Amino acid sequence: MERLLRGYVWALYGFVYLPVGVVVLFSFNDSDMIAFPLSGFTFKWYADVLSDGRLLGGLGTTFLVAFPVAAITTILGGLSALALTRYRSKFRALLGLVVILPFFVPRMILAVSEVTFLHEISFTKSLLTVCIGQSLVILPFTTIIIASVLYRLDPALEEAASDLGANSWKRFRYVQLPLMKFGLMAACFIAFVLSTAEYTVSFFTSGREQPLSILVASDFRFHLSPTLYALASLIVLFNIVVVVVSELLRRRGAAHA
Amino acid sequence: MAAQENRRLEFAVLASPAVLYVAVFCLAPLGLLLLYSFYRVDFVAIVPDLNLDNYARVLGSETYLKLIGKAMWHGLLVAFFTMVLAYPLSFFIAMRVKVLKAALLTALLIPLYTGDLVRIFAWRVVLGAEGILNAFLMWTGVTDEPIMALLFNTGASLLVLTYNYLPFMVLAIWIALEILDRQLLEAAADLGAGRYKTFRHVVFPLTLPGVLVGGLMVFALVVGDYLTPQLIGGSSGVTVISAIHDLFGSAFDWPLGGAIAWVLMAILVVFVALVATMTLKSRLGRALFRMN
Amino acid sequence: MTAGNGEGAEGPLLTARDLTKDYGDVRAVDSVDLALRHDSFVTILGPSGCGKTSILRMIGGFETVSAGTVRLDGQDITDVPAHRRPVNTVFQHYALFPHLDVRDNVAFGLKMRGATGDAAKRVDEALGIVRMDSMADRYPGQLSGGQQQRVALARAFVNQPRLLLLDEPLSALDRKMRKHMQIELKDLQRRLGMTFFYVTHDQDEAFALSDWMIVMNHGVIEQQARPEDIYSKPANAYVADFIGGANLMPVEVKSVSGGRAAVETPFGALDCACAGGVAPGEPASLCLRAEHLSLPAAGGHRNFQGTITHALFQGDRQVVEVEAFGSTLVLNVDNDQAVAAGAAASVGFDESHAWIVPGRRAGD
Repeated sequence: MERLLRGYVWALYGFVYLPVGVVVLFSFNDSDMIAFPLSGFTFKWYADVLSDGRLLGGLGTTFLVAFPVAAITTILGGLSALALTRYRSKFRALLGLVVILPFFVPRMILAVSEVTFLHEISFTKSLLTVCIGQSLVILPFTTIIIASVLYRLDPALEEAASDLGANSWKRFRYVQLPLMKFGLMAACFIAFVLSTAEYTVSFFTSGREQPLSILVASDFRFHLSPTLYALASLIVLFNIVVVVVSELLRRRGAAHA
Repeated sequence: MAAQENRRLEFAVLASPAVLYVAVFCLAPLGLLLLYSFYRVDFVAIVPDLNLDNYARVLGSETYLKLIGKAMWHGLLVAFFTMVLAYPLSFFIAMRVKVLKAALLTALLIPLYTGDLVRIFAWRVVLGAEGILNAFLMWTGVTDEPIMALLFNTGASLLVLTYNYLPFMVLAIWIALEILDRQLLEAAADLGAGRYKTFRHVVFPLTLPGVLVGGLMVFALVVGDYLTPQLIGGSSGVTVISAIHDLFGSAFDWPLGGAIAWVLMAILVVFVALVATMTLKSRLGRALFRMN
Repeated sequence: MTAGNGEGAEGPLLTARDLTKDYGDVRAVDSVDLALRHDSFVTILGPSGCGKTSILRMIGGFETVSAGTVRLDGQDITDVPAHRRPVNTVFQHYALFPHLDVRDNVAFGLKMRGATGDAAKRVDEALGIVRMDSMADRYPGQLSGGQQQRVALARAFVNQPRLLLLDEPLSALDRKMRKHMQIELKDLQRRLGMTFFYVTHDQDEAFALSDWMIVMNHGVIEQQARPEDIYSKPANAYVADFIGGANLMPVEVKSVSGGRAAVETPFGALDCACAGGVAPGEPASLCLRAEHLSLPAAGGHRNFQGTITHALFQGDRQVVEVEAFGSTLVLNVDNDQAVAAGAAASVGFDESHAWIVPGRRAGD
C-alpha cells in the first residue's frame, strides 16, 4: 500500500511536469517538428528568442509593470496581513472576505468591469491601468503569504515592545517590520512572477504598450514552433528561480518565530 | 478604555488601504457593470436607457442558460477529479513526509506560477496533432496517423482544467490533514481500527471540510476560466465566459455582457451559499463547527 | 530479585523483559523488566522524560520496541500492531472524535470489532457507570474537561480489555476535579476488575491510587513495590528524594549485615535498617522522614544540634527548616511552639525508623 502511494505521488508529479518537461526537451531539439527520434542538440532556438527585438521589447514592458505591481501588492498585502493576524476585531472576517474577493470573482468578469470603469470615467488605457488591474488580482496572494509568516511570529514580541515604551509607529518600524522582512520579500517575488504571467486582466486594460504575455498570446495560440518552446522554457526557468528564492525567504521569515 | 480605542484605530488604519483599493477598483467597477447591464446598445454606442431587456434575454435564452449549466457541470466534474487526484498526494505530504513538505508543495505550485498561457501552450504541444503524444505513438507504431481526438474537445479541456487547478485542491486538503490531531489516529488504532477503517471513520470525515473548501474554490475557478476552454476546447470551447469576452470585444454589447456576468455571479453565490449552509447544518457540520 | 508485583494465583497479566526504546542516540527506556498482576492498579511514576510514557506507548503499540519483549497473558505481542492488541488506552488529552457524539465515541471500539448484538446495551451500561448517560447525544466540543475524561474512560473500558492504559489522564484537570476523579478511578478499577496501568508525575496521586508502584528515572526503574514500601523503605536516594518529604544526610557505611547497616554520620555512629544496595565504602544517605523528626528533640530520640533557618506557617502546622552539618532538614512543628529563625535547635529522630539508602542526592 505504501509503495503504491509513493508510486502514485511520483506519477502525479510526472503528470504535473510532463507538459513543461516536453516543452523544455524540444526547445533543445534541432528540428522544426516534433517527432521521434530526437534530432541533435542545439541552442539556436534560444538564440532566436534572445535576439528578437519584439520579444525583448515586450519583456521590458513586462518588467515595467511587474516592479510597481510587486511593490503595491506587497505593501497593501502587508498592511492587510498585519490587520488580519494581529488584531481581534469583529471586522476581521469582513476584511478577509474583501481581500480574498478578487480571487473568487471570475477574472474575465473583473477584466470587463475594469473596462467598463475606464470607459465610464473616460480614462485611457495604459501601463498604469494594467498595473492597477494586476495589483487587484494579485493582492489576495501577497496577503496570504505575508499572513502565513506573521501567523508564526510570537505576538509577545510586540507586546514586549509596547511594554518598553514603543508607540504604534515605533513598534511597527523597529519590531514588526524587521520581523516581517522575509515574508514581505517572499510575497514580493511571488507578486512579480504572477504579474509577468497575468493575461486576462492585462489584455483588457492595456493600451498601446503591451506586456510580453499579450504579445506572445497570439503566437502561443496559433503556432507551435521551437522558438516558442525556448521562450516558454525561459519563462519556466525564470519562474522556478524566483519561486524557489521566494520560498527560501519565506522559510527564513517563519523561522524567526 | 483608551487602549482599546487605540487598537481599533490601528486596525482601521491598517485595513483601510486594501479595503479602499478593493472598493474602488473591484467593487465599484463591478457595481458599474451591474448598472450597465440595465443599459442597451445602439450600434456602437451604449445608451443609458434603463431596462430589463438584457436580463430577459439571458434568462429566456436556452443558449445562455445551457452555457451556464455547462460551466457549472464542468465545475463540478473538475472539482471531483481534482479531489480524487489530490487526496492521496495531500495525504502523502501531510502524513508521510517531514523534511520535504515545503519542497513538495512548492514544486507543485511552480507550474501554477508559470501562468495560463505557457501551461496551455505546453498541453497543446503534448496533445496536438503535431504534438509529442502523437509523435510518440506513431514512432512506436501504435498508430499510423495522428489521433485528432486528443485535442480540441471537451475531454481535453477538462483534463487541462484539472491540471491547472489541482494545486489548489491539494493545498486545501493538505491543510485539513495537517491540523488533524494525530492522537485521534492513535485512539482509533487503540480501539481496533486498522489503517483502512481509521481512514474511513476518522480521517476522511474530519477532512471533509477541507475537501469542500477546495471543491468550492476549484468550482468557482473553473466556472470563471477563459483561456483553457478557448485554447484547448476547440469548437466545444464556447463558454459563458467566452461569450462575455466576445460581447466586450468584437460582438460589441457591453450591457448584455454585464447582464450575463451578473447572472452568472448570482448563480455562483447562491450555489456556494447553498452548499455552505447545507454543510453547516449537516450532522457532521454541526459536530465540527460547534466545537470551535 | 523478582520484577513482579507480588505473588498471585495466576501468572502475571503482562510481562516486559529487557524492554528498550531508543530515539536516535537517546535511550529513553533502558532494558526494563516489569510484570503486572491481574486486577490491580499499577502506577508508573517519574519526572518528565524518564521514559514512563514510552513504556506505556510500547505496551499500547504506538511505539515500536527497540529491543526486548512484551507478553500479554503469555502471548508475545511485541510486534502486534496497536489495533490488534486487547489493550485500550485513555489518552492524556482524551482524543475524543470530534465528529461523533458521546454515544458513537464510546461505541467506536465495539463497532470496529463488528460487535453488534448487545453493543447498544453495553454502551449504555458504560455511560451509566461514568454517569454520562444523560449526555449521550452531546458532542465532545460541548463537554467540559471532566466530562470528556469520563467519556474517554468509558470508550476504553467498554471493550473489556484485560489491561487499561492511562496516560496522565487527570493532568489537564483542575485540582478539585482531579481529587474527585482519583476516587472515581480507584472505584472504577475495583468495580471492573481490570488492571489499570497508570502513568503520572504526581506522587500524591500515585500513592493514593496504586496497589503497586513503579518509580522511574532516566529510562530505568529505580524501584517497584507497594506504595507503603516505596514510602517507608525507598530503594535509593533518588526514590527517597523524588517522592518527597524525606530528609537525606550523607553518611559513610562501615558494615552491612542482615538488612542493617553500621554507618558513620556527622553526629556519630549509627546502626539501623538499610536498603538492599547499601555497601561499605559506597556513597549512602541517611533517610529521615519529617514525621520521625522532633523539635525540640523528644525523649528517647537520638539527637543532634542544628540551626533553624526558616519557619513557614502552613495552616495546621509550621514547616521548619533546620540546617545541620551542611544538610537542610525539613520537619513539622505545632503551631503553638515558638520557633525563631537563627536560633540553635536540638533535633531528635526516631532511630527505629531511620533508613539508609545507597546513593546521594545531587549536590550532597
